Amino acid sequence: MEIVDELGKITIMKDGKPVDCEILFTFENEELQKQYVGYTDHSIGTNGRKNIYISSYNPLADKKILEDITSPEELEMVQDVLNQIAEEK
Amino acid sequence: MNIEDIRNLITQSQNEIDHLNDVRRQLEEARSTMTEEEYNRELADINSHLETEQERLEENQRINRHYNNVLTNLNAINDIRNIEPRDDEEREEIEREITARQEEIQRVSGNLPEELLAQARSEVLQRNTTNQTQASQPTTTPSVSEPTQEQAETTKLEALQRQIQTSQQEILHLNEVMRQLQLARNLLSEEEYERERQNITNYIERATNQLREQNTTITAYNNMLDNIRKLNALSEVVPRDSQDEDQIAEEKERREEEIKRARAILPEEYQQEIRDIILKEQEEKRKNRANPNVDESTKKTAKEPNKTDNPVQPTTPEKEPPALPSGTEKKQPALPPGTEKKQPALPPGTEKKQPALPPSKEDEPTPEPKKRVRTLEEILDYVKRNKDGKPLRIKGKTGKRLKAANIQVTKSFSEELHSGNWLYNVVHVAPAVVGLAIKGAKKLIAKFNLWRTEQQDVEKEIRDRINELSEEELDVVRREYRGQRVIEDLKTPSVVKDLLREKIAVEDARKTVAGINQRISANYQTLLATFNGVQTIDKQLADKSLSAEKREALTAQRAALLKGKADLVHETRELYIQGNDELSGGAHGFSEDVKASESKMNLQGKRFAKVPDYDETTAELQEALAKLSRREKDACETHDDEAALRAFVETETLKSKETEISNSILGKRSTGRMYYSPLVGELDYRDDPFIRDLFSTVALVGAGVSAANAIRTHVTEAPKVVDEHNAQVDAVNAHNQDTMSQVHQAGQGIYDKADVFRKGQEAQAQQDVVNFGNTGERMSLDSSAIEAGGDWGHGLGTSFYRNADDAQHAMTESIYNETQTRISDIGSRYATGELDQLAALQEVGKVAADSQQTLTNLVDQYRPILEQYASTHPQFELGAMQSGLEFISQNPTAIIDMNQAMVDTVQMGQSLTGLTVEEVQALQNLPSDLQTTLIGAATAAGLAFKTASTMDQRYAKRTGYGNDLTDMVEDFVAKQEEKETVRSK
Repeated sequence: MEIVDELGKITIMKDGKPVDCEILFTFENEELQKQYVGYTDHSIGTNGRKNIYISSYNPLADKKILEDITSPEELEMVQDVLNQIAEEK
Repeated sequence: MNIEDIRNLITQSQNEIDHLNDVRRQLEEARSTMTEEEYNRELADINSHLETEQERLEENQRINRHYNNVLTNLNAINDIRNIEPRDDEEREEIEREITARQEEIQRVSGNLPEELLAQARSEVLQRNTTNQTQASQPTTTPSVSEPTQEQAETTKLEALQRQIQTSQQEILHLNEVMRQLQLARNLLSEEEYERERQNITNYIERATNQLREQNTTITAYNNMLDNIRKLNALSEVVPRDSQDEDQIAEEKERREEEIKRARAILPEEYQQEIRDIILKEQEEKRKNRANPNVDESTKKTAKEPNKTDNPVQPTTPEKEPPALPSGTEKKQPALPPGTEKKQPALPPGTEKKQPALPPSKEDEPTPEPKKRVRTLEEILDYVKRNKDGKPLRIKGKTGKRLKAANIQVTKSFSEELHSGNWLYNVVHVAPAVVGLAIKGAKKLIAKFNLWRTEQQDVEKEIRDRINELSEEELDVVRREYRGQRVIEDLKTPSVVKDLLREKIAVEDARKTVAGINQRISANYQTLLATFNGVQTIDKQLADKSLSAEKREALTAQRAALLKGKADLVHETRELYIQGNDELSGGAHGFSEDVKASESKMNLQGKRFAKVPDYDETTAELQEALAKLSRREKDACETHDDEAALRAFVETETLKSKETEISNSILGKRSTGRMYYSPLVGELDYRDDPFIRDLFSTVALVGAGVSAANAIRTHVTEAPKVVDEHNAQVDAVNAHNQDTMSQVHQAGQGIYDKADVFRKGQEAQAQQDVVNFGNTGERMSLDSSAIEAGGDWGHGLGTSFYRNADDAQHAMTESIYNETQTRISDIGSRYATGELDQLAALQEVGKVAADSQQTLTNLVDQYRPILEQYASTHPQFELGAMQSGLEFISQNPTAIIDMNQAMVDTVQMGQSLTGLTVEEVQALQNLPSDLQTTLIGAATAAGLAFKTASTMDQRYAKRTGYGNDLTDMVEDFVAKQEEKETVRSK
């Protein structure tokens, strides 16, 4: 795991307005040949928790489109990554 | 010159004739450009060539015809000789047939060149390789000059398999005869019919018993061979620790027990053969270890290294212990008793019937020797290498979890996580993104590209290797990979397992299940016929005037009839489970009708609370089945033939009665409390609890839409039909140009909406496939099935899915209730006059649109799950369901648009009152779907009916639910009931 100062930014549309999101972490998976990105607009959900978006994209595609993560296997992997980050000293 | 040359010559001649005809046509066309003399000369030249070519063609065609004739007759003679005649008459018939065919061969063979007769003989010999040449062939397989054990094994097994085939054909034939007898029943007296039926039943019973014995032998043979091999492999394993040692010891004990069990069943001749095979394999293994690089052809003379001059002695195993890892020298391979001094069994065959050959031919060609069948370990090793024998670089998953790599995290987020001050909502649905600037991603591209190319190549190589495996080797794999189970102790990359499984599951599982179903069918025939036979005897025995002698004879006959039926019942149940193993990785799901009743899981089931049609009657049914199942099991264990048979018949009767087969939108389906078929694989995906539940959820939400549509129709559209009819009558003589113009305008407006209607109707129709295929089909669900759903390979038994499933139920209930309430409210407001027709229609339209939106969302959510399910259940045709869901998903607004269009149409329709007959006729020129809509029949029910008709036609050709055996059981139950009715009268 590599700890870096900055990983870039993603701009999303929220309530019709562009909002900049900070990229928090990235990782990849060779089997699926996908790159994953976790980012946040620092908004807080109704339950008081901070919202983190996780999306995947194909690094080989000419135009990068963020896609939903739908498979349970991928969600489990995301959970593993978050655990790893939390455990990393 | 061989027959292929002849056939090539025929093709050449045909081409040449075509060409010459073309040239002649061109000559005709060019006739005006040449002199008469030139034309005649050219024409004569072409005709001469044509004539010669035609003669050549005819001669070669004649030879080809004769060759085929000889071949057909020789093969037919061999096939006929394999038939075991049932009586003298049949034997004479067979002999007559053989003589006639031999005479035909004699007649034709005089017209064939010598080398072609030799070729025909060779083809026939090759077809019969296994039953006539193994013993006499000089083998080219490695290491020994005498026939190899593998050849003997193949011969023995094949001989047994052929016998099984013959028995199965015999049973099929007898079933056909029985069917014909039933068809001809009206032409026979009751006595004749009963006599014939009894005869056929006896034949069936005999053939079935024979088949059962053969199957038992082959199963015991395979079990014994596999277990000895595994035991030997275990003997070579060096345990890592004491726990490992315990596990190995336990496994060895289990294997030894299996071998013991098989030994008690298997005749000595087969055991001897297994001993020889094992010895041979150990010998091969030892040689391979000693000389890993020696080519197969040179192994024959290879000597073992580190053992000075001892030559290889394959027939004296006591002197040649198999190669063992260091520290395990004293371990011997497990062999059945009597191995040590026995010589390899000579392959049978000398007593076998010789295939028919053309007369007076002496030089028999030599068929190719049989390829050695590899063991599973060897097959897996082969599959993991490229065509040059070099190991492939396979990157397998380590376990099922996906592994993340190259994780990069910002310092701030890392610190935030460690601080523990924040909790997070992880949102995995991507928002609308307008800008993307991710650092460090580009360097991955080259790596991924390289990886992809390499991995695609590796996969292709593995596929190629798998496609090169022989049928026998695929059999070896099949035995080890039942359904989707994988032998755990084999460290095989998942890609290899998956590709092997794909090969076996897709291509072979159905074939195997067909064989199992055939056996189940034969067993049912026997069991039900026995039951009838016993009833008849009991009736005779009830006659008090019966002589003691007759009584004794009948009692003996009764006992003979019942003999072995407990085993047969047990075997039938086992076959059902075995068949389901082949299809779905276990009996889970499809055999819940048996399993649930045995385990009573359904009575305690957690999911029942959610199933609306689970009631006391269902509970009683499950309880009755559980009791019957226990009785049957106990009787089978104690070999109580009569009790087992009675319990079997009662169970089948109960299940059959509770399964009501009726035509539905997707073919024949059960609308009863049970989904039951005695045969494996007859139930379909909708009977799988998970998928049924999933679609039921969609269906119930869809039902909200349908309900809305239906109410709208009844409340608002139906009066329109009356209005329209009245309008026709009232205005028949009062039309004028203004009305015509108005009609034209309104009609045009409606017509412009036609596309919207069509699209909406199509979506509705697709939706109704989902709805009607599932509504009302929620039945008792077995919670254990979902928990065992791990077999599906994608974690469907995980808490993720259980939670999702719970959520579905909650959501469904809530949506359904809300929809119902809103529709009731609109209905009452309309009834009290608060809403007029149009307003009611608009309100209901809103409800329908909301429900539709929910349905679309659900469909979107379920589509990936269905795709996943479809990919792991190749035995189901899910194409229609998938495309239905896809259509709904891709056209989310279609029905909403249609609803709006219908509101508009009603408004326009108001201006249509007062139409004349002519004007109505003009409307009739509109598309039929639109007409239907306009006159108020475009309701959900109407559309569903139309869809049902269409789908019914589409699926009519499919083999749906229900089969001959289901019909047979139903027939049996009906007759029993008839008897009981007569008795009670």
